[in-house]
Amino acid sequence: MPTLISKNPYTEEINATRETLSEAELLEKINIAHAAYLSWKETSFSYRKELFLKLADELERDIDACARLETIEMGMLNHVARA
Amino acid sequence: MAPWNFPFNQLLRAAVPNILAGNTQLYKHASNVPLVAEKIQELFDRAGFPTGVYTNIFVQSSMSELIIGHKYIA
Repeated sequence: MPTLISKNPYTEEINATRETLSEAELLEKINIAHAAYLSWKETSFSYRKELFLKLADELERDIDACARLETIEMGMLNHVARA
Repeated sequence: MAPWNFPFNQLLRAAVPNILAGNTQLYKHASNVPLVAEKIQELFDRAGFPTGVYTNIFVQSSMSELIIGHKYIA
């Protein structure tokens, strides 16, 4: 499968490569998402809200790593990425 | 499918209201930010979202038509 390349735009250094999905793998992912939708749509708003609050906590916990990834992959200044 | 600038912001401003509304989301980031894409998937997983509610997909742009035309994709 074709490869995605993560490259630092300033140094041209390759950070990582990732393989893309085959058509069969993609169709499987779509089916999994659809199956999840059938139950997810029945959950309460408050449950969904709680998960997003946890997501926010996880993002805050990893803010430095997340900002660094935006910096090394697409050249965003670190302080802008942290914002 | 998303552009490459502000990858966290672009994803979150689309995914949060969509998933809060009860939908699930497949997301193809720009090809040049796969590590950000993986990090976002990791954050959703760690937050406890059920499998399939948010899914990052690494696909070539040539698969766009297949995705858009699929009966389960709105």
